[in-house]
Amino acid sequence: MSGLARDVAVAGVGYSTVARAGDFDVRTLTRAACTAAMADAGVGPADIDGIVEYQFGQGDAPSAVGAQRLLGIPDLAMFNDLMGTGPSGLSSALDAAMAIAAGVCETVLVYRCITRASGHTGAVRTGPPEARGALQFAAPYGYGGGIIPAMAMKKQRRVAELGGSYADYGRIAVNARRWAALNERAVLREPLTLDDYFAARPVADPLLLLDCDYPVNGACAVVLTSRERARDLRHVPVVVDALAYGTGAGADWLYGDDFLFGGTIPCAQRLWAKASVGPADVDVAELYDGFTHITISWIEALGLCGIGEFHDWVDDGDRIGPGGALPVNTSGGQLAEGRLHGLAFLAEAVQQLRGECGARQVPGAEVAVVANAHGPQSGAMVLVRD
Amino acid sequence: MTARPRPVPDPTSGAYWAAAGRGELTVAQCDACGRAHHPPEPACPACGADGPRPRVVSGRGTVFAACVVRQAFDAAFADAVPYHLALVAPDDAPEVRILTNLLGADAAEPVPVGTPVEVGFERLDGPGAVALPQFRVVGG
Repeated sequence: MSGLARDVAVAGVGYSTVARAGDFDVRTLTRAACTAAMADAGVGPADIDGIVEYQFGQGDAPSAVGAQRLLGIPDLAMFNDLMGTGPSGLSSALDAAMAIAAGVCETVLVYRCITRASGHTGAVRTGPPEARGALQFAAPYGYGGGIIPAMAMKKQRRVAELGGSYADYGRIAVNARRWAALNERAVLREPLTLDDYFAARPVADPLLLLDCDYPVNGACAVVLTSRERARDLRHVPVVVDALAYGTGAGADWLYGDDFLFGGTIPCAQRLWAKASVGPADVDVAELYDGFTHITISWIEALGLCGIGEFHDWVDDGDRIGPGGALPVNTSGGQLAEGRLHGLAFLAEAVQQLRGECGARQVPGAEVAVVANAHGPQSGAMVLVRD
Repeated sequence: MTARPRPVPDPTSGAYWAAAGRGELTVAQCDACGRAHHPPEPACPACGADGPRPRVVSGRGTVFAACVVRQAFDAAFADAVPYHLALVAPDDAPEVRILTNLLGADAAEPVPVGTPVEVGFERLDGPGAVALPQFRVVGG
């Protein structure tokens, strides 16, 4: 029994092709991921009565009703287009779970389609010569590239305030490649050493290129439904045990009260207060890695180790790697599988709990935690095998 | 090279930029809860009270966090890299962080957390002329 008013489960997951290059149409990518997730669940267009999608709000992916047309879905009892200020792609699944729990709809398709054109926030742009609104306090100083400078400053501040070293960040980058080597879908599968990590080009010192995820063109989709309905579908249901959001006080990437952790700590506290399991029960953790700082934050915020203890806890990195005591980001995450913007962490967790991950399968995995984004946009979910 | 973006004052930020034009650095002070914030907002983000007012601060502070930008994100800064970006905590409003460049510092590496800094004002002339608060390392 979850903390939700009605039990919700994930019934299917799907991916489009995921590639660094090539011609594509976001409608084709979205359709491919959605049809794969529906086939995985064993549902057809007439079974879907809700769609939620997450995008940056630039029309960079098909809208919910756009996807409805792509898939020939007759009507929707619930739909929502979420913009880029939420907990990344996971926000679509959080929204869907709440709508199902509330009884508004029964079976919801969620997706995130992202391309290098829309997702490459580090690209050089020509901004407006007049900086208005929040930009007036940022653009004149050369603050750009989305949250890249914020993440650089968090990395510097964390080591100064909590100790540890920049090698801790490298452990996350190296770990991603270790898992990606076992994932045929991953885009970057070559092994990485700590020396390689430190040799990477600095983007904004101390932030290195390999602290940043890898932009790709692709889509990921997930089908959620009631636990009751999921039991009649193709796979063993993966139940949403708890979900939570967090922003922290003064919610902002630069100016929020908790500069290092943002909303991750209140989100994690809320999550475990609602869950039927606790941090010690986690078999596999799929934690956002748009930047390495984010993964470290979630590991500590979720209580997988204490605040400021990551350095000693991660040790040489084997603990979070293949065969380790607490596998983290078993797909290779966005650092190595490719930046599908959050939802793929949920899809990977589901496949791990269903025991479908082949060479990278975590033996006997029954409890997973998934977390997305950071700062004022934090969200997380606990999943258990039915 | 395109021109660097200029701040455009609005009803909420106007007093901040006007003070900067006089060579004064201000934070937004909430008299209801006693906390200050930056950038100025129509209401206090800590308690929601109306009417934060500009409070002049000394302009001395310390580096809260810093980085050295080595890859331009805005074409207007293509010739400026590498340059420092930092958050500064004013000595007399330590709960506040102000985004700034750190002028005159060696760009070989980020300025360490806790380094004392003081404000100056960079005048951007021409149309929409404005004084941009800019910190530098004390004695640097």
